[in-house]
Amino acid sequence: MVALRFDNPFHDLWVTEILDSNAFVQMFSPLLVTDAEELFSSGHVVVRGRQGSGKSMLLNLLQTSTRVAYAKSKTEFPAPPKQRAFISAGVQLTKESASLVASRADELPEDQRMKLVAANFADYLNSLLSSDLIRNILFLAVEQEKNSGILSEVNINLSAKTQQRFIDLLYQAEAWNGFIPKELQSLKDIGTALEGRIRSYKSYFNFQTDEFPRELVASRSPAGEPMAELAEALRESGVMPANTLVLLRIDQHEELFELERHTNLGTVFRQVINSALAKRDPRVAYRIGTRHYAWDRDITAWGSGAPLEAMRDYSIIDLDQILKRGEHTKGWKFPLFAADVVSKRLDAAGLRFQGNSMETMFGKSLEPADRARRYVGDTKCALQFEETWAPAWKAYIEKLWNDGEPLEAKFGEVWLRQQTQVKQKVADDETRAHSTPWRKSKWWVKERNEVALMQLAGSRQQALIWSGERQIIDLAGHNILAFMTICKSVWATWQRRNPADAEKRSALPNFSVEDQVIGISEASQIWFKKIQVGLEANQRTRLISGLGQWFRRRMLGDRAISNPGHSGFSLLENELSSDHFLVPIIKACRDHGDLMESQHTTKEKNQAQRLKWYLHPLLCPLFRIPHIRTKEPIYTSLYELQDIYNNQRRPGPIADETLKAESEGQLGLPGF
Amino acid sequence: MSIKPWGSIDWLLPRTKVEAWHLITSSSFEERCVGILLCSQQVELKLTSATLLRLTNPPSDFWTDAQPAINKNVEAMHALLDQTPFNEVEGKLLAMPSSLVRPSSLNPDDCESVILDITTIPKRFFLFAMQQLMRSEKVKNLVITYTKAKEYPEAALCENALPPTALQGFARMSATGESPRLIVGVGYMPLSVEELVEQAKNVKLDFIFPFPPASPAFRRNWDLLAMLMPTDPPRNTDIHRVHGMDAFEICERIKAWGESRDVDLLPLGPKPHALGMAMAAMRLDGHAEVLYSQPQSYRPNYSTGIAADASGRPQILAYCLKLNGRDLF
Repeated sequence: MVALRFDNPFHDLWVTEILDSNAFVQMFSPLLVTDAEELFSSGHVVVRGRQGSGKSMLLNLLQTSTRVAYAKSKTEFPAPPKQRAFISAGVQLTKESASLVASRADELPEDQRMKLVAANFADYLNSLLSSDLIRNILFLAVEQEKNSGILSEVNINLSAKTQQRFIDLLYQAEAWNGFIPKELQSLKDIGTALEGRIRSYKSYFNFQTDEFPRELVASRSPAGEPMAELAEALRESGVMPANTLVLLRIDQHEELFELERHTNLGTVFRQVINSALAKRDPRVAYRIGTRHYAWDRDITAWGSGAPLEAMRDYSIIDLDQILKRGEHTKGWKFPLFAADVVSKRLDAAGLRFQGNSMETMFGKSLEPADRARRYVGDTKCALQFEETWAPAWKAYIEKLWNDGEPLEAKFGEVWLRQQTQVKQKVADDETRAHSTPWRKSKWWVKERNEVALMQLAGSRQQALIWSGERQIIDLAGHNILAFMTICKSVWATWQRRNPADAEKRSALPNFSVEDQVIGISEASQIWFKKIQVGLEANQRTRLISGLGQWFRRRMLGDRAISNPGHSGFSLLENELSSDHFLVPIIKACRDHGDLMESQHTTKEKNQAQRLKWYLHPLLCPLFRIPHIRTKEPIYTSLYELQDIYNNQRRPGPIADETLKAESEGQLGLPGF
Repeated sequence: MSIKPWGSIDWLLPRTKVEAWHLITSSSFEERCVGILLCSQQVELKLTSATLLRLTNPPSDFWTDAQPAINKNVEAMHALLDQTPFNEVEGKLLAMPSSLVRPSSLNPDDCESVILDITTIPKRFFLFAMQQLMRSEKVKNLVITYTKAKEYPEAALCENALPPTALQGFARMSATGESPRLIVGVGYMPLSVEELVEQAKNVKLDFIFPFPPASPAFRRNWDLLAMLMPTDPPRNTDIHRVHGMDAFEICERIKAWGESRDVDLLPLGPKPHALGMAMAAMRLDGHAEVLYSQPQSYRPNYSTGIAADASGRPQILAYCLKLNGRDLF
């Protein structure tokens, strides 16, 4: 059992990115690997996804330390056996402070600035990756010396003969001429020399030296070349088998996008990386971890300016696409992935359980009618009738309410308010007040369930109920970080509210609906706080706050529930080409996953291309709006959105302020 | 026991025996930016020259609203400098600090004795400037000054913080391999670092809490602490209460903590705490990294007024970092 630091198995949200390799083995879900087999192929691969989609987790699977941990624990490594002959090295751009490369750009002559920054960045990257590759070879050699069966497909041979051959080959390689000092004797020496090279760069970038080190000036190479030659020398010398692939990971590529925005250096950093891919050098293969916006916006290569071609220069593993729900739930990967992650977390915490642990913990989601009963409790019918309505209708609807069917009663009220019934004066006709005609179409009810419930809860100042396995999966919006945030918050709520049960730790908890409502509400607030991080954080927070409150106002005010889909908005696609100030904010919201964008097939006669957006489902509990997307969203314009944005008072640092802005006091827990 | 050379400006400056100083300060929308110049009229602070840093923020409503206050303060500073020769260094808030605050621009006449007034200079600029002035062989005496504000508004002080990155001049040079200890200075604003704290693979998490805080500052400090503290913090998470103005104490503690492992420093707290963190980082031989999220806009009433001492003079604290060419930390 992995020694988790905390009683909550979901405490460490980033466990597969930050814990040690042994923990990784226990917690990594291999379910995604079948959709991501390119990861082990010989071509370049871009792993793309929103924050928390699992990019780093997937890339960390390639690490040598992870593979050694798999071997030691006798756990099957989740890559096809034929594709395990590889060794990987990597760099995490944030951790290595790649941004420092830009730090002394202003000292460079203006006419050569871009060229020199590109040369420095390429060489710094070459040094980091080469150094890490040597480190991995040495690490694996040590592990194989202790246990020769470990990673037998990549058998490292560090005999004096192979090392000498390797060094001879390396010194003959063009890019290594001056890259390291002469007369080094071993791989270890080369590793040390590369570390020295990295230190020289950092020392200069950190202003510890005034002059750019001369030895670096003369020995810089274009991106990728030293690694390709290093990989070739390692294979040819026999240090590693001739069929070993060298996979080079570059994670947090979006860091470069953010760096470029603030340094007036164009897109030079991303272009340098693109230039390494553009070489199509079969000796190494890159694995780039990035977010959509950072990759899509510039795929030209430094130097040539030629754009990379998807499928030809690189393939894409789009995690959001893999985990997204299709037209039908059948074949939807995310629920299986989530369940597997939960099961591994529970296993690691020593809570082994046979069966569906998700269902045991969260139960089934409450049916709409049950939720309605919880919202109204045993209160008198609070529905609003028009004075002109026939007494028989009022009595009939009140009877439905008093008979324990408040949702049916609500539907009755809503149905009578709808245009068709109003035109036919149905509410005046006592003779028809005896059945539930709104049930004739199952779609009518299905489409209006959530808004009707929201209105019932709103009239009673109740928090909305979200609970049960299905709703928790839906709220995660196919994002594993969102899902884990919910699990963590619900578990923490259960611990807080049930200290005696939590102490026992012998059985899997069965969370009450109350614990789930509170936990999900907390998770929603955490998710809202995430908007306040990243690009255009305040503008995004302001727009999302405005939209959330706008959707709620519209749905609460729609007494006939004629527009049950107004939890989203739609814009003409060509509006997004305008220079309106909201366009980049909407795009930033999309890129950060605050808004979910999709094509909108319009019902308008002109059939103009439209796009529609909804809040990330996990934001819905905070704004107390349904997460279900149904029917038509609000057809709007940038000018209407501008009013909403401008009228939204400056958002505060915490989500509570958004709620306080509404004239409602403390929310009650429904039916408890 | 070593002496920590800091205290009120009128106590500290005479003890340096320096007769005249070159002052580096900045104009701002905050009234307290004039504090050091007001003080120069009242205590024994003879200025030979001055450098005035003027930073332009990215366009925002806040920045537009701040213009009248900036103009007023610049006018007041020019008037207070009166006969003192001064140069102005202008630049953008998001520019690389090295493009603006190198010794050649901050101390163009290579004065031996320099006061760096950090009151309204953003952290990423003054920390870099301090490091450069400490390394400058031409600067023999370096005093840092900080004017306390009368109060802070009950609102978000700044907006749109960039993602946290290593500050220029304070990136880690080499790592020991073990995950670094994360030390967070607690202030008022989270500045986009919640995820960094949450994600930090630190087995040791420390919060430095300014103490004793003035009311209602303590509540806001606790609010931020509550916001940043992971839901279930590591068991060995510690909260250290350190005098909010004692840069030397911060420096000493972090130097001790950093002897055994790498440290990541997040200076969200008072500027003297940030100063102490940077001082320690300079002594930890490249094993420390100072991370910061630069806000892109500041509230025009970020602070109001200037705190006064019992005799009605601005409350200005001074820290002597270098004296007669000798580093004092």
